[in-house]
Amino acid sequence: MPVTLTSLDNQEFKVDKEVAERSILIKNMIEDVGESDAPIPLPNVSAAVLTKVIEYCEHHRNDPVQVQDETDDPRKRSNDIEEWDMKFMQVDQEMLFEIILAANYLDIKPLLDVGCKTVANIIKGKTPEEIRKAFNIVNDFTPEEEAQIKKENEWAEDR
Amino acid sequence: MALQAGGKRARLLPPSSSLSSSLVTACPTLPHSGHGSPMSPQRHTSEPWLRDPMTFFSEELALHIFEDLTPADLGKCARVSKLWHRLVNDQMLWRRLFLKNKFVFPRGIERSGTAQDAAGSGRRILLRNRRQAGSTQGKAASQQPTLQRQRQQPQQRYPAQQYQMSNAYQCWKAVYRLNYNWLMGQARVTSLPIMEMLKQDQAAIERLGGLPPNQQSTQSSFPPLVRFKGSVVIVASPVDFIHLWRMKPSSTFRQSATPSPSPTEAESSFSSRTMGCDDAPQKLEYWQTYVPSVPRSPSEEVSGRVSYIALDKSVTGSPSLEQRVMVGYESGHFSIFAYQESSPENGIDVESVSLREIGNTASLPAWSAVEGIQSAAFHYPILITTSSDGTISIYKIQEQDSSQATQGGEGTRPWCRLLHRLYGLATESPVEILLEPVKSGKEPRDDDQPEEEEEFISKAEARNERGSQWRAIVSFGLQLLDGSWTVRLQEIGFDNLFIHYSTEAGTENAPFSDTNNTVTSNNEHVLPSESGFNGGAIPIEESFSANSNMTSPASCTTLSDNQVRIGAISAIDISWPFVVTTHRDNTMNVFQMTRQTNSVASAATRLKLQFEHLSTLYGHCGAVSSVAIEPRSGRLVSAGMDRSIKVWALTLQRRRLSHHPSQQPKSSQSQSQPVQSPTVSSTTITTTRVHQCIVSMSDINKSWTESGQVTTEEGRGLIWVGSDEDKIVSMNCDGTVKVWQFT
Repeated sequence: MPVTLTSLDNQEFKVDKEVAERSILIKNMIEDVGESDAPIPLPNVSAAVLTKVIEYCEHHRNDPVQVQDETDDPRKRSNDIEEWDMKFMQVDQEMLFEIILAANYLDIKPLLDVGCKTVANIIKGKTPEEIRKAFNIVNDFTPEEEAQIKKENEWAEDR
Repeated sequence: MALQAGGKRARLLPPSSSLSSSLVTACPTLPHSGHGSPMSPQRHTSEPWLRDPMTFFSEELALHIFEDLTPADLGKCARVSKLWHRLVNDQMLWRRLFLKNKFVFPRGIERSGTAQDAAGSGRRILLRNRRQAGSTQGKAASQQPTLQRQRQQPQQRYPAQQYQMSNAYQCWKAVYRLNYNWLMGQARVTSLPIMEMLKQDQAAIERLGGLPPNQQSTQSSFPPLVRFKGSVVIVASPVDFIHLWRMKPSSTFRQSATPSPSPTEAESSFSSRTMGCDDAPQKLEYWQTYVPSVPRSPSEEVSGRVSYIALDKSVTGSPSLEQRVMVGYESGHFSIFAYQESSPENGIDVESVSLREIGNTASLPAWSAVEGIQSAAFHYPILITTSSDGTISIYKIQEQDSSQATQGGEGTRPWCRLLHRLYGLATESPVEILLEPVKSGKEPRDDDQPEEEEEFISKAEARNERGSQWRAIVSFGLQLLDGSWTVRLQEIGFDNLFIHYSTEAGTENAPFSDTNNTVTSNNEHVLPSESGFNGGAIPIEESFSANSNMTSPASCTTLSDNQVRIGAISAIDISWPFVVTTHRDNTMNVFQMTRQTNSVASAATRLKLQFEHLSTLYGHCGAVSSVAIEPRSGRLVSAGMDRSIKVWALTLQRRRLSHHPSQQPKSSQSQSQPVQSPTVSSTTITTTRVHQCIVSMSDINKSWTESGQVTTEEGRGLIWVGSDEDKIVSMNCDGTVKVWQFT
């Protein structure tokens, strides 16, 4: 049975229940309300973002439900992103950030993880100046302060 | 269309204006001011849409992003901006990284309750809130219950109070860093050349006006002995003085290096203070010298060379407490002194000498002599020593008031008295002892007390006289008939009056002997009254161990073939549940102690101590000379003549266990030697925790030496190594002591 989702800009999306329930938020809502034809309003998500999110959920509709099993081997939680997800995340920064927000709001943990990892990958390997450039951040440190912080974190530097 | 209620976009702020306010408030409850829809017109301009993710997202999400980064990347992130710096230094981030990496908690941090995975718990609580939010929203679809609830409760999201940290590790980042440095083998090395020590020897001799008469027989061939606790390193010098050296704290340097004007900067300077500066000069500074007191009568034999130093294990925690140190001599005597570190808490002046001798057995009027002290374990008030003639002596150390000590007359309690002495453990191998008090009433790993013992306890009139119960496990090597060696343990349970049991365990399953009967028969033994102690040391009970025959050839033949045969043992260390031996053939062997219920209902229904060979460790390319077990993590630190220090961590490993009828020697089941027997009856795959080398640090590597130059030490091996949770102390052949600090 399809579920109707309404985006911020009042666009309606009809998706399979199975797909919609990738989102824990929607899943819980459906559980609470019961079977109903009423559209589910998602006033935090714009149509463009919701399209992307639904695309992701469609692709991952058959994934086994991730149990909150953090006690797993930490090495499993590597920074490797699946190929499809990697391609999926090849969007501009605005869309990427919006997807992360939507995934957080809709409670789609795998998508949130992939999104955060994608941002982490942008940061990875960059110098502070490059990071600032990538995110349009103003450096509010004095050179002395920056040198001091560099010193602080020397222990972690790759050798 | 405007946003109706506070979504996450409330964090979308102009970077410049509200940055300071967001820095001050840790809690991201910002007014969702009426900035436009997130679909702002900006994105259609030619400028690419770029936002600081740390201001765009909530802190929760920001930390989620940081979680996926390595410490090296985080170090760079800290330099991006003040906001980034604060977030990177967020305690919760490091705590999550810490837990994610399955790092080991250093002493002082206890995990408690159900906080089994705090990294996930934050998210779990978040989910619960989300669920509530979702349900409310479902019922009243127009409302926006929103996420503010979570934001307002950072404390609830991270139940930090479930963890109690000692003062030393107030910072999760520091704890993470400590573990990280262990993993990476990143240490700051402070070395103490032997020349420094000889200088102090000379100074001490000058102070004393020549060597004391009992110290004349010295040659500087015997390698000095090293022990350490906290920042104090205790070294026996070539002329048998005990020098105390201190790691000079570099806190003054740190504080002066940090500016601290504005509130936000105060925060950053705080973190830099706790983390310290890596190049802060650390120095081993000479502190004090202990010279054993001269015996009362000149006829008393000389104290002789220092053969063992044991630190009091009962004092843990604050370093400002008084520490007792036992020094054993080759003459069989020992002396005990105490030192106290100064600290702001106890207000002791740094320069004031806070070292005093508690006693020297050479000064005692009556002393039942044993041969040279071979090994000892000290857990105040119990001291247990083994001698080269094979005796195990258990002493009780009772400190007197200082007023009594000066009188020294009759009627005062001797500072040391002999409680028990066992005979029959002569071995040429190194010996190490694990001594621990048995928790009141029930033993920690020993749920069932022997019933008759319980009855006896209730009968005992002088219960106070008995004192608390103690357990000692003596580990030693034993040479078999074919020239190979095996490891054996002798477990002794005792209190002030009785030896309750003395059992020996080998690597075969059957307990070798149980002398429990010899003890229970002594139940009615009447003890000498208090007045009987004026002689100094009176053996209250001499339990002749039935094990004494074990060195005879006859008993060797009774040893079943299940004995694990190993090479000659160069060093041994014991710490529950591991016994580790090192060998000249570049290997180490790890044994694991277990307690298993004795199916046979014997008189002693306590759980039998058993131990089995766990693994053989390869990796050193020179004779392994010393090993230390870090009890908290089961981590091993070994040092060898190849001038390397290796750290071995417990790691999970799958291994095939094959069950053979009987004859297969156990050693072949070790991880190193796969079972080759074709007639495998059954094979199971189990995961076991075995030690694997994670770090190898070379003593000659230039980057580790403080001076940066390879000195004459090159080519000389390490002969001793010790470790606690944040450092390794090593000594090489020529007596140079090095401290490898991981903080």
